[in-house]
Amino acid sequence: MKITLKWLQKHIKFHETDLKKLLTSIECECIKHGMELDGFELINPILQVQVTNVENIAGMKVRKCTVDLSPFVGLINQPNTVLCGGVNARTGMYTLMCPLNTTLSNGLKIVERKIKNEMSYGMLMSASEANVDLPCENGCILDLEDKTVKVHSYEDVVLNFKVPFHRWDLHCVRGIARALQNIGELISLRNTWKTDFNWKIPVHNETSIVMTFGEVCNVSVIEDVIVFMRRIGKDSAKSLQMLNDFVLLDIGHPIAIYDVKYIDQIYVQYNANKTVAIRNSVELICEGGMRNIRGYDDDTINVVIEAGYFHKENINSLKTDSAYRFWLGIDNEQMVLEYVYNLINGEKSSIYYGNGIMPMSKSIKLPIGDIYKYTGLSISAEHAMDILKSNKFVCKMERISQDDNVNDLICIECQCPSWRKDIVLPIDIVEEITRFIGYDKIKTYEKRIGINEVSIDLVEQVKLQLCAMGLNEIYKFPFTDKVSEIVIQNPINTQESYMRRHLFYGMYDNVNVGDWSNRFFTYDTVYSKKNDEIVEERYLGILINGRSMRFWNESSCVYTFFDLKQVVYSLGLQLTVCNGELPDFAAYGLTYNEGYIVKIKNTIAEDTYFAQIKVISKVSELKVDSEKRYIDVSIRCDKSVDWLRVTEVLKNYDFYLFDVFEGDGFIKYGITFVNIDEVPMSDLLLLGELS
Amino acid sequence: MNKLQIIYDEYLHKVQNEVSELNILKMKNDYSNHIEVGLMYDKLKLANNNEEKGEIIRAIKEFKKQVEEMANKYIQLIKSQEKKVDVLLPVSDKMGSLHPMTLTINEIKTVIRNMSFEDMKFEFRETSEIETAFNNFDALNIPALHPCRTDHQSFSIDNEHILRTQTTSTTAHILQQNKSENGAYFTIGKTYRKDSDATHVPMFHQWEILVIHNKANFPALLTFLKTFLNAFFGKQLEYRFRPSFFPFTRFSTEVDIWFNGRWLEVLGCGIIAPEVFEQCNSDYRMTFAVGGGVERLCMIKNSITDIRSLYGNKKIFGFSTFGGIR
Repeated sequence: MKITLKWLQKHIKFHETDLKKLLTSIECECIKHGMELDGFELINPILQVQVTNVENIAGMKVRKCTVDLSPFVGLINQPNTVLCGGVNARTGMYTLMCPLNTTLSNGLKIVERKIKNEMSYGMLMSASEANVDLPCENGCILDLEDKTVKVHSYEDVVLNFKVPFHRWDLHCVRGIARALQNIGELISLRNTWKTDFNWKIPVHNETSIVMTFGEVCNVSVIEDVIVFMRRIGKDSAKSLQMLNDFVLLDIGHPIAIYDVKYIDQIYVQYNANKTVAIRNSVELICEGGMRNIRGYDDDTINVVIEAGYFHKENINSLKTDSAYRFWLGIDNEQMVLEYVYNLINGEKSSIYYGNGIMPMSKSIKLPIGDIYKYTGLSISAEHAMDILKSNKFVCKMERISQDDNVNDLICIECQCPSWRKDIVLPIDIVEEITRFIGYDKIKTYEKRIGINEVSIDLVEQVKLQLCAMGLNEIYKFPFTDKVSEIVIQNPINTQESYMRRHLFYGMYDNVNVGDWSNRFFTYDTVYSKKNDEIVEERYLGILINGRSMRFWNESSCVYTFFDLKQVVYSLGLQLTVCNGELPDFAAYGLTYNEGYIVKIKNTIAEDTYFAQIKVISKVSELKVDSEKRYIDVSIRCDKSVDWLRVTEVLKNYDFYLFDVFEGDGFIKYGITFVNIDEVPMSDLLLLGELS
Repeated sequence: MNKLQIIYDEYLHKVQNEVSELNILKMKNDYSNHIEVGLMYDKLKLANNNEEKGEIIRAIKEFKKQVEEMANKYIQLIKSQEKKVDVLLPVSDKMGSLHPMTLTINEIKTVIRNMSFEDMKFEFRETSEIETAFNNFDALNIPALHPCRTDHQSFSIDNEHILRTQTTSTTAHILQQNKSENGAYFTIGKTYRKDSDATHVPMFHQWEILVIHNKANFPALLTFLKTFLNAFFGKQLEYRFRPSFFPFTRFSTEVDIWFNGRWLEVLGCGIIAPEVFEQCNSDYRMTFAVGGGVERLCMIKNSITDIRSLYGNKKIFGFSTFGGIR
């Protein structure tokens, strides 16, 4: 967007006279607003100057002329000497001059020149050079007897601004002037800016604080309602729409914007549910929490911006943790002002509350000793009160004891600002104080712990055992489309509307039909109902599918039922076969007291086997008691030696049998002795006894 | 100096996972002439006194020495592994692996079991996933109009039961049972919320710690957190405690750690609100609670970016990170 410096000067009075410095300031100020000053150019940069002195130079045809550049902003620092070949140059004459760094229509750029130790800064022009239709002889410069010749001044500097697309307010000279106001003095915009308000604004049950922001150009009071108007730039509707959306979405703070032309007067009324409704004499314009979008259009120039503070619960009945999180310690009115200021670049006023008093909610008494109790921070009551006051709490100190040294018996009575709904108890005030002091100021110490105890429970043992057998663990969601007793009333989708009865449903999804071998397990919950009570039980699910190579000299073969049975039995779980009911996805299988092993029927992945077993067994009883000592002994003896004989020989010892192996002509007994430090008798002696 | 330590940690991590001798040598050269080392030399020029200069020189020398030592160590290791040739036929099936979630849960359990608060050991408590609305919401000071109670936030089973949205419901159970005693408890379990994207899944795991003791104040909580996280991640971390809000805690904080060059939110914690004790019909005692997502810790530790991959299970088996049992 191109505007001349002169246009800008209609709105801003620049104090800086040096053009270079001025442009630097403009460039800096532009950056603050996301704009960019993309260079500048001059419009026909020909100046009308008065020659103040003419000096002859020895041995040269040209003469040294001094010109008066004082009327031209930006040329004060430029040397005013020009070497001129015009024979008619004389002191006091008016002529046209081209200053340094300008380019003429024929492409000639005027630069500094040095002729025989004399410098020339510019060019005095003839009529043909200046392209004006005035009498001028050859070899002469233009002599302007009549000073009314119309030429542009050097102040016609054209500034080229690159304006960000979302800053609709900057697409006009006024907007840019407003943005650049810091580098000068705002002339026309400031005329209507009123900073001292002292009107009473209606406040009802803490629900509404009418706020002022923007540039007020007209204020009228209708009964109890104040109307604030703001004049904005081009494309106002888009700017306002954006403002409205941004403020509402980002901080949940409803604002209402109206075009003045639609409004003759405004009434604010409080509805039964304590929301604010705004209406004109004919119709309802806006109701609390609802934004009004029909109030303005592309031609809108003068608007009323009204914002009320509503309790979060009153805005679409929302009361969220994140809302609380956001509001912690934030003055939301000030926040809206900042947004408006950043978005449409108005001027800020203070916030005005009804009767000039900010509405307060509850009163809480905080014993000062609580701060130490909860945080370990030793803070004086005065310090605590300073922090609270800076957050708009109204505080009063109460001394319960007359003894000045007893800090514990001091109470701070705090009245909280209306928007701090999160503050209910004394501990909340402690939290507020601590937040401002900083959690990093709380003294902590680091303990070092050694990771000594790595306890592995039965389930972990089983899992590790399965991993060692080449099975991978998987985790699945418990949702399924297979009908079960536990129904989710509001599922994510219809395929996930039941809680699984069998672990198989999730696990089968992981079977990759083309894979060489699918072997995985999970330890997870299944859900059922017993006697109308919801029951959650945890089971081990194992699924195998694909091929296996059992021996190195054999070709691979598909998994069988017995492969899975082998896996399950090798876990050492206590299993008893029973005649239970097989699940509906089973072709055949075995049921156990706590689960089943089955072949899956009618699946794309053929030869899939699945087991669901409860991990409770005697394995848990095999936990080694560290206080006892054990020694295992294997006794190989003649087949004729029976177990009764062995027990007779070892009757003085605490022992039990853990294994028997019958060979060709011999028998082996595996015995564990308990609580002994060495084998009770030598091998030979033992064998002698047994034989 | 700390930066050199970070670079060294990074180098060590890379070298440990490298299998090529050539790459290790390249890494050794790169890290010995790392830009941070160059900056240290710049600092050396600007150092004011000899003491400062000496410290910088020592740090650089130590760093280079460590880099070289590690490179030599792992090159030797690679060479020694190359010599070992298994002349037998390969086994038909590889070892299986535990799920990264299980590994993370085990690590959390191990760290907590090795911790104590005022000589109290942590007791594991587990409660059902299908929970009453009272224990999940009302007992935890979550009001009737709270959005998380709506149908689009939680799964309901019937009028009374829902799938629990947080393991804090275990806290309600504990407080209902423990009316006046001190205690230290922890739980790890599944929770359910109606959410599904790259960082959310409808079912996820949470871990939670509860300490009931008159010394369980805010500094004790922060101390506990630092100890826990340092032990879990196995190194000294930088922390940021951000004020937050949870309905069931007063003094609510979210904790960020500086990990791999950025701040990561890892857990939430606070002092249990008096209202929760009231709802659970229990005497008010100073109590702090810490809770966080297991998946979050798992993802941070294993550099997983999409939480859904944890439950897709398929990718996991191919990862060398998860190969074998840790």
